[in-house]
Amino acid sequence: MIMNSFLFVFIASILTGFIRKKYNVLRWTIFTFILAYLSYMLYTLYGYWDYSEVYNLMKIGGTQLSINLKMTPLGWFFAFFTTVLNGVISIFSILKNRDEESERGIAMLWMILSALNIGIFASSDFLTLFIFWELMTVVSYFIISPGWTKSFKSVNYYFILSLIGAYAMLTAIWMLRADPMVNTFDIQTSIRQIFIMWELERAKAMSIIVLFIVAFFSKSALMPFHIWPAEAHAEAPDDFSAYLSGIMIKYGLYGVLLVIVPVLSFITHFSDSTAMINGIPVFSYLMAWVGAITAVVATFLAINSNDMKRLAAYSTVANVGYAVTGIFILSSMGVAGGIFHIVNHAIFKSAIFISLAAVKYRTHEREMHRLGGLAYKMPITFLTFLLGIIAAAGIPPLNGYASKWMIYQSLLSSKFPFLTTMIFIASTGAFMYLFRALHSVFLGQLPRKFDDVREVPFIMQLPMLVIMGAMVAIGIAPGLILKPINVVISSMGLSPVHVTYFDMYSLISRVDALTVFLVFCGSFAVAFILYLIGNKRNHVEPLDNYTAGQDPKEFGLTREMYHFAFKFYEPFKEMFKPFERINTSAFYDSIERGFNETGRSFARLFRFSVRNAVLFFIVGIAAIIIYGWFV
Amino acid sequence: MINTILRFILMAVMSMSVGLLFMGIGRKFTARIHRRYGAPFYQSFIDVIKLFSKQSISHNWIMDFGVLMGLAGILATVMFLPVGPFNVFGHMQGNMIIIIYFMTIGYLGMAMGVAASGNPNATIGIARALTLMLGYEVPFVITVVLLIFINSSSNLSVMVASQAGGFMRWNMIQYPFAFLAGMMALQGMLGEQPFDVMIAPAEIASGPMVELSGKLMGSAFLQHAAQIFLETGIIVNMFMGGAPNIWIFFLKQLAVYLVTLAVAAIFPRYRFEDAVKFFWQAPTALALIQLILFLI
Repeated sequence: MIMNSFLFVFIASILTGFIRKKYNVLRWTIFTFILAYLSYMLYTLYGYWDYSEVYNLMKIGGTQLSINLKMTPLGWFFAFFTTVLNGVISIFSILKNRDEESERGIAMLWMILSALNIGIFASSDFLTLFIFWELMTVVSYFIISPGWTKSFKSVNYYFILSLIGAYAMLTAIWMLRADPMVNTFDIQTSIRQIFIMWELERAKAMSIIVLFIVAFFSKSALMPFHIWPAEAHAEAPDDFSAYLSGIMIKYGLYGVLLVIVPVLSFITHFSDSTAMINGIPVFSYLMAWVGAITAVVATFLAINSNDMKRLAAYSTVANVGYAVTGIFILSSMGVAGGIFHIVNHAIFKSAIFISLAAVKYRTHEREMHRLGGLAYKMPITFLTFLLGIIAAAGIPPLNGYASKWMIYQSLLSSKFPFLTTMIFIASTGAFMYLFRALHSVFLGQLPRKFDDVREVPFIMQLPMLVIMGAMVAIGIAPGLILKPINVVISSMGLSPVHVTYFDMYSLISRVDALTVFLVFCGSFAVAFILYLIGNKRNHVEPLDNYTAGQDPKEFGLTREMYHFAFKFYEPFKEMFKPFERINTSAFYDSIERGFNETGRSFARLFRFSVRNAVLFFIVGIAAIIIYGWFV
Repeated sequence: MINTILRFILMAVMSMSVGLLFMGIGRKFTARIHRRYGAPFYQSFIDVIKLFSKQSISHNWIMDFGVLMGLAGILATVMFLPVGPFNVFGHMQGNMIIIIYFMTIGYLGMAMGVAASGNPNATIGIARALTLMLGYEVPFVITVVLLIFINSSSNLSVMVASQAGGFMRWNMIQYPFAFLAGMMALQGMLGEQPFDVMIAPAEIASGPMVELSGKLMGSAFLQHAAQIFLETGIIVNMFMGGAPNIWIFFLKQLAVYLVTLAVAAIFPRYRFEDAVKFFWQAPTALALIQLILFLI
């Protein structure tokens, strides 16, 4: 049934390629319907945790290679949730892509990608996972850079880092397969065997875990792979950025939850010989620190970026950092909080990216200091962005605070003071850069050239309204998402967290989300009554403003000049001047240059002389023959 | 239910009026340090009533909405503060994590409102305030985390209960370094000198307040009053053992507030990078020393 639906999506995607450019809207509507169909298919699969599909491919050297699909609670949760969210985003794409240049290819590939997305979450062995994983990388590569030179340059970071991750994963898979103790691709069996291997051959088990970590962290852009989202998310098509940032960056975290967390929980509970810190293995503690440091570094990078999509991309990296810190605490509060934060982040980051896409759809600008004052022209977009940043900053009563609260509780109850402080700092920094984006894009002075900008059409507002509703609903009733998460973490062998629809309990405190929401409404009512009591207000033009007693027209002040947005946190940036020498992308660039030069010098050897080329050929053949003799 | 609503309204009125009273007393206090006579202690009430009775200007609806949200955010946070035996909600008695995050909505509202006015002075003030926030939040959070660890609870009421039994049991005496760090952070939170970079009347024309007038200015005044009540209240609960009744609580709050004003009266203003650096050095070091002393 899963594979059939993949085939169906694949054929449909090829067929939509024949739709003429005039009917672009039809192509993207079909996309939305396909996602609705996939969501329904997943919905019917809920609860069938022993349903599986096996497709034998071929036999190589006695090894049966096959595609194994199986629905686990963890996989189902991710698959269903991402497909539904993708469906909501796709409603936005319908009109957004009406006049786009290379949208035909994007539509076809994105349809295939949404099937591959489910494939990743449904794989029950490593080989299947790897196949879907690689296909996903390649397909998304072509969506991010549909023939634009600038994006081609930046997407290479994404591709190369993904390749590093893929090779690491492939090596780990083959190390497992070649080991006589494991000798299988099956994920669940392998996890148990890795634990046994941990007890017997610590070094080998450790290297397998590290290889998997490299694979997953490079996909989820943790340190030191934290630069690719800023390049790739910023250059990708605007609606696809929401998908990239909300959903695709979470594959690495899914991998961590699928493979690393069970192994580490086994080690925590059953291993006596492992060094522990506060009840978790030292390795896990270090990984939690990687998450926390990623959160802080990405936050500081976001504060200093002037491009709104780069800012949002760094914010994504920071949020992945929080989730990783929560997950590697390995308590049920931490893992549940991590998963919950993944979900919440996907929702509010979609809100942020969709509203930025709406801004770009109307203004064609990305640099924040050229925008401004759009809130007065695009109120729905503004509200979406506002609720998005309130959720992203973890402010009650929207959804972001619930998961951040859980992550804090897990850190505090497992007694990690320094990690807690790091996450708090990142969270305050998040408030800084989010407010900068809000001010520079939506508030302040409206430039004259945007005087006739209008709100986006209703079809594009629809997904924004849906996402806003979801943010508020989850904020009021976190149990809506936490109850399914309880099913997931029970299946992972952790005890469920104590929640009802409105309450969340931890060891050290309790939060009643409904009360929090009502308190907010109540105090707003008090403030509003005071506002009504006060004398009347008069509307005044924005430029008729305090200018130290001067008449603005006399010295030629324009609205553009009066909008303070460029170099917003410049003094703050100055404080970090000594650290500017540590530049990760420059480091990767230097590696790239090194490879290029080596390659070119090799090429020079035989490009200019036929004799050298023949010599190389003969030496090569001789080497092969000699190798054949000896082996 | 009715009881809760009544307590809610009482708390809102109490926080704003006590805060205004503190502001008035504070003005008198500062004046006396400066060897001036000073305005009467009820001057802040007169100011607010005057502001609400005047007509105001506004550039767009977001400005009004933001200023309202600022006041609402701080009022909502006050609801979670245990004031002596007085609590609005029985459970969640001062959940510190909720308080810290709820406070941000007040800042966000104020920032949004004044940024919508389109005056660069206001926005520069906000940029400074947010950067400063990243400064004082570090020692403050370490202090809070320390107290949460000591009490195994993030509820302020539990922290208060653990300090029962006389002056010597107060966290102020038990954890003096953390208390100093907390007081320095409070100085930054209230925006008093030497950390008044966001107001800085001589540089950026009162920063956030530059475009506010009439009832919007009045709301900002009330917000500041409630903020004084809230932040001194947090310090009293965390370090000074709460209080058996609300009057002693107010007295302790006033004492804390007057200490910050006494410091403010004799210090000039930091440049704001230096203010942030200061927060990351002295108070953070103090808080860390206390944390490490606790952990070993």
